[in-house]
Amino acid sequence: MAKVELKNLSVEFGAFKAVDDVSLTVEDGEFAVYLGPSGCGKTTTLRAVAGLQNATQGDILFDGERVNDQSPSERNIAMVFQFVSLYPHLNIRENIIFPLKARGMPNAEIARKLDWVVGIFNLGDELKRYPGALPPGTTQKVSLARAVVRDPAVLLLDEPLSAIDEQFREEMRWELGHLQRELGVTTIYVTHDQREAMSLADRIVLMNNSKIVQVADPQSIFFNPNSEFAGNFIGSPSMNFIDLSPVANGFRLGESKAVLPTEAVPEAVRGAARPIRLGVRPRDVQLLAGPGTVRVDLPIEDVFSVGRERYFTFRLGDEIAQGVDARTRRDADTAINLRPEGLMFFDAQTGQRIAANGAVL
Amino acid sequence: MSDALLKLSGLKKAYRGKPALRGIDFEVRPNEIFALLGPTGAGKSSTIQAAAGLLDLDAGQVMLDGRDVTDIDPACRDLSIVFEGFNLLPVLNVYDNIAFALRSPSYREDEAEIRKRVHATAELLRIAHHLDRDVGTLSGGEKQRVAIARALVRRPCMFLLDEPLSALDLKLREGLRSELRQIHRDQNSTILYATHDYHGAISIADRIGIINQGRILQSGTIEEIFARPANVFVGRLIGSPAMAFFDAEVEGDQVQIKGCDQTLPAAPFGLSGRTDGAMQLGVWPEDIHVTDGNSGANSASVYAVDNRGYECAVQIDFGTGLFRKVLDEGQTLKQGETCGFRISEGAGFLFDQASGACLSHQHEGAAR
Repeated sequence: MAKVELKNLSVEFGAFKAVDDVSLTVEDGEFAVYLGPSGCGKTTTLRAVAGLQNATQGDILFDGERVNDQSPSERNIAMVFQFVSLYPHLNIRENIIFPLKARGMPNAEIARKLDWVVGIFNLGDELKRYPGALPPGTTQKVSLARAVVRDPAVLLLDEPLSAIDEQFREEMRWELGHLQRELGVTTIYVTHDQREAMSLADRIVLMNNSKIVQVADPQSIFFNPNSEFAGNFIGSPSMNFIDLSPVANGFRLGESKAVLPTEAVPEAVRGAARPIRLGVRPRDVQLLAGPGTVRVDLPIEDVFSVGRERYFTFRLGDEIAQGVDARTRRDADTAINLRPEGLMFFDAQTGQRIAANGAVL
Repeated sequence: MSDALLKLSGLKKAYRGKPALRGIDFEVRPNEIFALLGPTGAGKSSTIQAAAGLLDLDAGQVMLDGRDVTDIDPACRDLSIVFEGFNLLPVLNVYDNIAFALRSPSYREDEAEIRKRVHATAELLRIAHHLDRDVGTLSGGEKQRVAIARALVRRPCMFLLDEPLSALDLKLREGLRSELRQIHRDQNSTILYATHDYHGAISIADRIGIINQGRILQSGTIEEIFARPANVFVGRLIGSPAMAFFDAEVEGDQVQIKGCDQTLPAAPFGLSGRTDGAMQLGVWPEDIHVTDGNSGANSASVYAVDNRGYECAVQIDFGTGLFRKVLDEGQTLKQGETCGFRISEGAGFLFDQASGACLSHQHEGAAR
């Protein structure tokens, strides 16, 4: 196991900067998840850590030692890819011990390692089977077992669940979270799926346009996004973003006639001489008034059941926004109630969050 | 019911002797979104294609708006279909792709009308500024909007959407889904929507049909399905997290749960037919109360934890199996911790161990 440090890492492909000045420390045993949309630079960063991609600038350190010039095999990393790459002609046992045999490990040691990994991954019944005969979730589990059996310093996972069917994916997500904490191996995981990042990560590294947007544990990034991008990318259903324009008694919401009362916006935010955008998660928009909620009069468009709770929509000019309500009956609704702790304010031009004290995060 | 817009009865289809549809029966009512929910290979696409007339059925009947269209050409069915793979025409730009259906021999409109309708539809789907673009230069989300616009522009009596959003990433999918629902509301359209994604189905549909191995296992509103899941498969597919299952044994008037100390009275399950022996007990996670330490009726440990922002879900290992549950607000548990749990009396369903069919009759007809 190792601590992984990236210092001012940049990777360029010709004129295009795929990774732009990324610095980050992943602690020993930590599960770090690189999250972002396609093309944001997360996989390139991972490949640079693996040694599959040369860094144009900056340093990569494992436990304080610079590894930029080491080949992938010298770095003692293990990598699992999106598409399962097991040897089809070898059975599960042979697949798992392949890297140990390749290193000429004594048979007794191989047997001990195999026992250990098979126990953790619960693969005892599958050892004599062949990859073709196993469901996709299990084959990916075997890839993981093969990756960790030789005690890598760092485990690198590149979207390991995205090629798996929805039904197995959730299963494997739970399994992965359990296994990583059992193994305690330093893990860097790349995904575009915010649900995976939220459930697996000790820390989420959110990337966009080749740069790091925010680094924080899942709860902090969810409740305290530093930008519109972070607020929008994390959480489902997605955060509502509504432009605020000052009127006599408060702020007009979007293109609608609805008004957010002045006192709902912190004074320091009001004072900011820039256009402001409100961000509020659907779960902080309710039909029923609660303690301290801020009432905004506007018509409710649609209420529909999503299992045990209900979503509703309301229109702000051309825009449709969404709320969540636990109520089972619908009356004539003419207002929404906003939970004050869920109101976030952003600079409408830069997308940066404006804190309650007026500071730009 | 006779007021169905689309009624499928006894649809059967085999590909090279391998049955894909084994007798599909369901109906889609006017102005509703009906989601066909099932795993890959369940028969969703075959069902959609059968409704559209793109499939030669071995048996069964397709009724559209009271008319038997089983042997009628797809072009004469007045349906629009959107595929997962977009299927745009690469040689045409966005405008001509959308206008294509209005220029077909069956639905020929004059160019002034076409212009008006293409522009209106493009506005609705926010692609009006892309009308001159080559479809090859569009992103996935834009391409799917064009595909949906092409279906919408014709105003058919019904839309068939076959996994229309599966090729898109999560955020885009979510946004387009609520837009689709809004368009559906504004236009009073009727939609049959096939998907393998539970969250996708419940956030758009008025009613859901659960399909597996070429059969509809259950259809109804999500509340109706929660109130009485027809079998184990439905329980495993529905809910977030899905239903928890325990091996159980009914002895006299008690239900013994394997690996648990708690027993449940058998009477509330309303068993009919077989009333004792080995069964499976299915419980919605909302009806299981998880406690810290060893204070619950049954002892267990936390296998894994899933943070979801507002809520935290855990996977509980009770020795003979696992179940998942969203914790109560403010409750926190860590992986490896011991905990307890109790199943609420009167909750849960008993299922036949071999067939998976629901044997309990409580909550029948009741929607929660």
